This record gives sequence, structure tokens and C-alpha cells, in this order.
Amino acid sequence: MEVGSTSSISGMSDLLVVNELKVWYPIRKLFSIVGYVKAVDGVSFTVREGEVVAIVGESGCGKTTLAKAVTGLVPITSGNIIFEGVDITRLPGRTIREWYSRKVGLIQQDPYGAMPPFMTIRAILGEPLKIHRIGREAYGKEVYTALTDVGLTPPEDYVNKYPHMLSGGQLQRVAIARALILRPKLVLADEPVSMLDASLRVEILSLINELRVKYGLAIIYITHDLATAKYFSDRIVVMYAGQLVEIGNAKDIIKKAMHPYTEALINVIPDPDPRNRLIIRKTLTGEPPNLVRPPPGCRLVPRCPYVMEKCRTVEPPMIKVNELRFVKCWLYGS
Amino acid sequence: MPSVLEVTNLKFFYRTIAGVVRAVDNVSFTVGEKETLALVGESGCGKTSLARALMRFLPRNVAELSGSIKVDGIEVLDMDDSEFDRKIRWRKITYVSQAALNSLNYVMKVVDHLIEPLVLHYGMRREVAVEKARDIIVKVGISEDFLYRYSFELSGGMKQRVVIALSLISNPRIVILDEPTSALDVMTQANIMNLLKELKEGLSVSYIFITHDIATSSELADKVAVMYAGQLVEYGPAEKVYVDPLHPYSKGLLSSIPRLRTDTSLTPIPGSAPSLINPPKGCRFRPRCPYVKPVCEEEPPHITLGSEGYVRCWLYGSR
Ligand SMILES: Nc1ncnc2c1ncn2[C@@H]1O[C@H](COP(=O)(O)OP(=O)(O)OP(=O)(O)O)[C@@H](O)[C@H]1O
Ligand SMILES: Nc1ncnc2c1ncn2[C@@H]1O[C@H](COP(=O)(O)OP(=O)(O)OP(=O)(O)O)[C@@H](O)[C@H]1O
Ligand SMILES: [Mg+2]
Ligand SMILES: [Mg+2]
Repeated sequence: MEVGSTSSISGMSDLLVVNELKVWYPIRKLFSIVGYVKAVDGVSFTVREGEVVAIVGESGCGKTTLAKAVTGLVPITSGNIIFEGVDITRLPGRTIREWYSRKVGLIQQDPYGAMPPFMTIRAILGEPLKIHRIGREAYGKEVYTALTDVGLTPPEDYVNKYPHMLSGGQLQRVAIARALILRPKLVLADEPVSMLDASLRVEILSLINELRVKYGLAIIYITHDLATAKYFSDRIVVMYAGQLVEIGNAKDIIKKAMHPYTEALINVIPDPDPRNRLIIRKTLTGEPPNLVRPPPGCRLVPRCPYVMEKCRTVEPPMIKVNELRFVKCWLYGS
Repeated sequence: MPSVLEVTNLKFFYRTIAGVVRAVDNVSFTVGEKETLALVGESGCGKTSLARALMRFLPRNVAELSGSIKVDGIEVLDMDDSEFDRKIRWRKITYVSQAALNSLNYVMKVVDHLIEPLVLHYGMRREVAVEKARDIIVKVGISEDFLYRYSFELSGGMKQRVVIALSLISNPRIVILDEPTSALDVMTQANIMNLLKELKEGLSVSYIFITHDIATSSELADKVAVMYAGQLVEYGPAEKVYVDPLHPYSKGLLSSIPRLRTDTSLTPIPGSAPSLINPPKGCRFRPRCPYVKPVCEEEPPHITLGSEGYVRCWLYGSR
């Protein structure tokens, strides 16, 4: 097995290449910076055209920060984001920004918080069109098409409503419509269904998938739920404490987790089964590490059942298992 | 042996400007000693309302509360508020509300949260109550030192443990858990479910476990009640309902759940739940049901299954 970077699998069809990305939030006291929250700390992965990549991890591991960095909503500390071959971190000009913001859409984690409460659905969907100066005529048409696409029909019934008049599921459909209205190539969906009822989740995820096929989108699906990731993604990227710990084909990862953290994530997810009540699940106890001063070796050390001496002092590299599988753990390398 | 809780034909309606909301409409079930009943169903189907009726947490706009609720064989709907307060609420039945995580006063120490009900409602001496608090906090898996921490110093998982401790400190017969883990992370959720399993064994307590998440419900349930639009459409043992559900709605719920360990295909239930003000005549699931037939416009029959289970559906009735 060799030590490799995930970007070694990148080829011509890579839509997005994220390379050694760091996003550190400064902690300020009075007028000086006294430390950093290392929310994203050296993350590399790729997304191919039309592909669905799930980013899975516990609360606070940096998923939203990663999504915001990729969409340009938070400044990055170091590393590169390369989209369609253009390094958008190196070319911060206005034209690049404008070009990029049309190519990438974001469905935010909290649809209620993300929707301006005093704007009608028409205005909410029209805003990106207005910003990008898309003709007034198209404006109405595009809004109607967008609503029809997400199943809010007839659109006339919805255009004049305000967010509070819609149910959670309907509001999430509007959020999807908004993320797609500029016909992006890549959509980041940040926990698009975690606020919804279990019975609605599959419906909304299927809708996203239908639109992906219809418009040839690539999707980054952010979630803490491996079960939906299994169904709705081609590849899974597992994140822990600001770093990626395992990357692989969705089916392969679910069938045989390699990283102890991935293994634990799989162990704790129940399928509906009457025998569940008779077992005590193997879980990780304790909490993820502090992201201001993370431990020197592997970040899972305090919680890992397989910890070895080396793990405490030396950070494991991302080890290449094969062309598609990468794992950041000393169990798989010397 | 009488059941700990026996609910028969319970109705609980709200009055609103738009009309009467039939949130709990003719609901019957029982909960036995050390038994867990999972109450599952979509958002807005009336799960929390059912808990409110059992706890008698009544808003001003109650239009009707009727039927029978027996706790240890004693009818409680006949009791006046003060008797209910003295004998039942917090003594026999306790409630972990959906918003409990955020309801802890964050400038209060954990110990003060825990002893408050004992000192206030039971007139227990402070020292005795603190001993009880020490006892229970260890049982929910938190170290004693945390008794003197403030709630704002606790993580979400720890807060949920404190809330659970609070629901157990009065040695209740039955605890209603309303979405106790929905706001928590997957790992924390599993740790809390493990805790609830251990507590159930250790302290002979019964649970009503309310959730919209069928997979999580199977972590505790001995029996399952499937609620749809204010009514229980299917009720039976876990071995039956999770494996071989009968009602088309239960079938739909189970086939829309992504599973990690098997490759089943997913089929969401089409449409959305009806208004509880003007529910469809006859079977309320009729507009979304793949097996619908003309007779479904009439009130569905109540088909008894096994010793106490039932399904309400024309597929299994005569005609
Ligand atoms: N603006 C900010 N300033 C400082 N720290 C922040 C900021 N935003 C997030 N953080 C911290 O960065 C870390 C990662 O947060 P992030 O929201 O990216 O996690 P997440 O994986 O999306 O979590 P969740 O599953 O809860 O949404 C957390 O420790 C968080 O407290
Ligand atoms: N005080 C009230 N007055 C009028 N209607 C109410 C009141 N409280 C709840 N309702 C209505 O009663 C119905 C059932 O609500 P309830 O909160 O019991 O549902 P639930 O199953 O707990 O939903 P969730 O999963 O979202 O918590 C809903 O239609 C709700 O809008
Ligand atoms: Mg997030
Ligand atoms: Mg509720």
C-alpha cells in the first residue's frame, strides 16, 4: 500500500478538485487573534461531473464550513479549490466570482433560517436571477419552471405565498428550486432532509436525484446519516474533526468500513428490526476533540478502540488502498 | 395483572377559528409493566397531543377530552386537577417533552434541577433530595461532579441525560419520551438509546416512546402503535409490526426507510397527511392508499389481532 493524495485519481472529468483546504476561524480577544478553530484542516477530495459525493460526519466536524468554503461563503485559510480547471482561490476577480456563483448552488442546512421571511416565494426565487441580470421576461418563466420542477404545482398557488405559509417539506422544495434556478453544474446540499420527518426524507432526496439526472448536476450531499448516503450517493467521504478519514465507493464503505470511525458510524445506525431492543450497540463514548488544539497524532485517539502507540504521536497520512479507496489510519500502513 | 396504563377511546380535540382539530380521535392501547410502546407517525399526526392528554397539559382551547385513561387500574379522567396533580402527574407518569433539551434553565446547577420536584412537590428535605439526585445522576451515566455544574456547561448528550434523570427521579411507573433523540447527533443518539435500554432493565419502568423515525423506534419498542391523522391504524407486537405490517400506511412507512444492512428499494408514500379539521370520510388514509376501494369511504372496521393488537382497514374486513 502506498501513501497517496486523493487528487492522484483526478482526471479530465473532474468538475471540482479540493486540495489541502484549510478553513480556520480566528478567535479574537480585544484586538488580537488568540487562536483558531480549525474547522476544516487539510481536506482533499474530488467530484466528477454528474457524480453524487456524500460527506458524512458528526455534528461540529466541519461539514457546513467545508460547504461554505466551496461555495465561497467563507474565506479560506489555505489550499485550493479548482472548478472546471480554474483555481477559484487564485483568481478572485469579480468576473470569476460571478461566473462561479452561477455554476455552484447551495441548499442550506436550515431552510427556515435561510429564507427571508418577508419575501414572497416569487421574490425569493427571482433574486438570483435579478443579481445575475437575467431578463425580466425570463424571470417569471424561470420561476414557474423552477416551482414545477420541484413539484409545487400549480406554481400560481405558490408564487405569492410567504415562507411561513409553507410546510417544512414544501419549504425545502423552494430551497431546492432556488439552488437550481441558475442551472448550476454542482449543487451542495447541506443536510437537506435532517429537519424533515423520516417519511418525507426519501421523497425530497428522490426529487434532488431526479433533478440531478434531468440537468446533469453533480451533487455534494452533506449528512450525518449513512443510510441515506448509501442510497443517494456514488461515493462517500467520511469527515472527523476537520479532516477526511475515509473515502470510497458508497457500497464498498457500507459493506466493509476500514476506518474505526466509519465502523462506529455504521454500528450505531439502526434498521427497523424488532431484535434491536435486545442489543446494546457498540458506540464511541466521549466527544470529538477540541478543534482549537486538536491532539498531535490521530484525532480519534481518545475514542478509538484500536489505538496503538504510534497513533498518539504521529498523524496518519491518507493511505491509498486502491484507486478508489483511501483511509487515514495507521491500521493500514506502516 | 392490570396494565400500568390502559387508554380506551381517548379523544382530545382543540378548538380553533378554522374549526375543531381532531388531534387524538378514538385511540385505545395499553402499556404493561416494564414494557415499551412506540408511538410512530408523521409530523402533525397527534403524537404530542396524545402525550399532553395523558399528562393533562391542557391548552386553553381544548374542545373535548373524553374516553378513559386508567393508571394501575384507576380511572384518572374523573379526577379533578388537584387530585391528578397529587396522585398521577410526575408521580406515576412523567414526560420528557420534545423541547426538553432547551428547557433546562441554563444558569441553574444540575443538582437544583434534579431536587426541585422532590423538594417542591414531595416536601422532601434538601439533604435527602440531594442524595437521591446523586443516585440518579450516576444511573444515567454522568459522573457525580456534574451535579454542581451549570447546564450551559453540558453538551447536548449530557443535557439529555439530565432530562432523563429528571423524569426518573420520582420513581414513576411510566415515562413518556417525546422524540428524545431527534435533536441529537447519531453517535450521541445511540448512547442515549443504550442508556434507555439499560434503565428499562434496571428500574422497572415502562416507556411510551414517541418518534417519527421508525428505525429508531425499534431500538426500544416491545409494541408499536402506528398513528395516522389522529387515529391508531395499527397496533401490535414489535415482531409483527416491523416485520409484517398489515395496514397500507404502516407498509408505506416501512418501505420508505433507507436500510443500511439490506438492499431494499425505497418507495415514498405519495401525497401528504390530511387536515385534522376536515379529515376524509371513512378511512383517513384513503386519498394516499394504493389499495383503495369504494368501501373505504365508510368507517374502517376494527380487526382484532392476537391478544390485544388491531388493524383498522377494509382490506381485512368483511364486504
Ligand atoms: N463563524 C464561526 N466562527 C468560529 N467557529 C465556528 C464558526 N462556524 C463554525 N464554527 C466552529 O467550527 C466547527 C465546525 O462547524 P460546522 O458548522 O462546519 O460543523 P458541521 O459539521 O456542519 O456541524 P453540524 O452537523 O452540527 O451542522 C465547530 O466547532 C463550530 O463551532
Ligand atoms: N394548542 C393547539 N391548538 C390547536 N391545534 C393544535 C394545538 N396543538 C397542536 N395542534 C394541532 O394538532 C395536530 C397534532 O399536533 P401534534 O403536535 O400533536 O403532532 P405531532 O404528531 O406531535 O407532530 P410532530 O411530529 O411535528 O411533533 C396538528 O395539526 C397541530 O397543528
Ligand atoms: Mg452543519
Ligand atoms: Mg410532537
